[in-house]
Amino acid sequence: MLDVTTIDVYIQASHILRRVSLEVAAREVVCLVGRNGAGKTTTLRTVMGYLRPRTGHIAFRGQEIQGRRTHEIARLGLGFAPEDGGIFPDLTVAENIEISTWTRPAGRPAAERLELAYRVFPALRRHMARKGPEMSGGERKMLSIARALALDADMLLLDEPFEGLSPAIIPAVSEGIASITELGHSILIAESNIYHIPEFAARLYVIERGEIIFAGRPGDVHADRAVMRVIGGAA
Amino acid sequence: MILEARNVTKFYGSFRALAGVSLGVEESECVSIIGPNGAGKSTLINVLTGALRPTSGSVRFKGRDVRGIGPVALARLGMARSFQLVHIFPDLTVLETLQAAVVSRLRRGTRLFSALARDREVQEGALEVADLFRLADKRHAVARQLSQGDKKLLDVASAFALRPEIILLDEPTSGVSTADKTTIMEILVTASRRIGLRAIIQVEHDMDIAFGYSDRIIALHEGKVLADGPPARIRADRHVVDTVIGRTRASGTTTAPHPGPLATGERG
Repeated sequence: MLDVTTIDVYIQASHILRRVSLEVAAREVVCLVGRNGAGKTTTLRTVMGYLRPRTGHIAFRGQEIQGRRTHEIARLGLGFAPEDGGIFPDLTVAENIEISTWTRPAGRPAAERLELAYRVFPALRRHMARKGPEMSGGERKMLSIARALALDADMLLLDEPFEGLSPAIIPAVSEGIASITELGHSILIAESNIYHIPEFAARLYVIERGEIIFAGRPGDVHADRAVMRVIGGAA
Repeated sequence: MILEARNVTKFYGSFRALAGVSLGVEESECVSIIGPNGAGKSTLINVLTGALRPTSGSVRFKGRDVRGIGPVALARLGMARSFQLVHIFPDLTVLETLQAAVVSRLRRGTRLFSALARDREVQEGALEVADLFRLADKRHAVARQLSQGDKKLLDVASAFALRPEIILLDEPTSGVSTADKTTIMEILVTASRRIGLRAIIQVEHDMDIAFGYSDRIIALHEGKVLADGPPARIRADRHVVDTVIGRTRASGTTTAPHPGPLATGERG
């Protein structure tokens, strides 16, 4: 569904991504793992058209998208939830989630999309009438991911979706997010915490200093001591 | 008891964020506050640091009533904090940010210094903190260009530059990659001993960090204290495991306990 092929990205004079390649097929959950500053967010932002690769190609469902504008890429069916979700503080929880069904009217019926968002984050259903200032940092994070889920995008790019969430709810949230693969959708998650990687991820890419240093299954990365040292999973 | 809250409630409109919270922090303690999202952790930190006035109840720091006195007055009394989401000046360099904190600490004694001596003290104070927090080689970098981990460090470093007696850290390792979390905590422990900190209170979602670096854990749930005790007892508490820690993480942790970060080692 998404093919990123040997892209190089510069921000001003700095060479941030070096020949980065990755692929996400339909119905797959794929994780891009790395430390702070390794290039995860830059990769997602480049796919979404905020940055333009100097070399290489990005194709979504066979169509080249590098160089296109962000809103055009979004219309093709790519949804993006940035790390700092940026909810609308003057709107209620319910209105924040419903916005996705207005901005992207295509797709499944609005009621089904909202139902999915509340199923993954039942705490939000209890606080539907609350506004931004009455919500904690973690609840705002839930809301930004719920809003992304309600987009019904063919492919979701999630930047650190579990950051700030209580560890007790992360397994349920992670399974809930992954349930959209049953609808034929796919997900690319950027993650800096190795313990947040869902076991059911089809593939995992480890990025360090702008280069992919590992591509494989989550189980295999644990056997690679050098890579585990980089991402902090082992001594 | 250096910091004490008794029967604190806090309402936002009709929503009750804190419902009768009582807790105390003793000299040399490192206390972690854990709890599910929306449990009231940040509200509690805001009440303890005088940023929010509780609806009812008392908050005393070194025996003084500090309800709603605000961050400036509280910093003068010897309490500093850092934030869940980093609060830094994006256009200042690392060194300028730390100098601003040192200047605000020295303001009380301005008249005692000649301008030259004060400049030297500001410069040296900022460099010392930059060094402690391993930011010295990035001292001329503009804050907004730092990595997330370094921004977090700078935010915490600014609080340390105030040379407080106690510090409250709201999720000091959130947004920091697994590989860098322990490093940040080790830096915090070293810096705390160096400046002779008397107590640390931190909000933390990472259970390895909370259990590995605390003398005591306070679990909050729906605005109430669910449990308060040493890490081993909290980890064995079924209610805490179900509502806060989660089954999978309770069974195995990767970090060896590092109890009493303030209790051991020399002060100076």
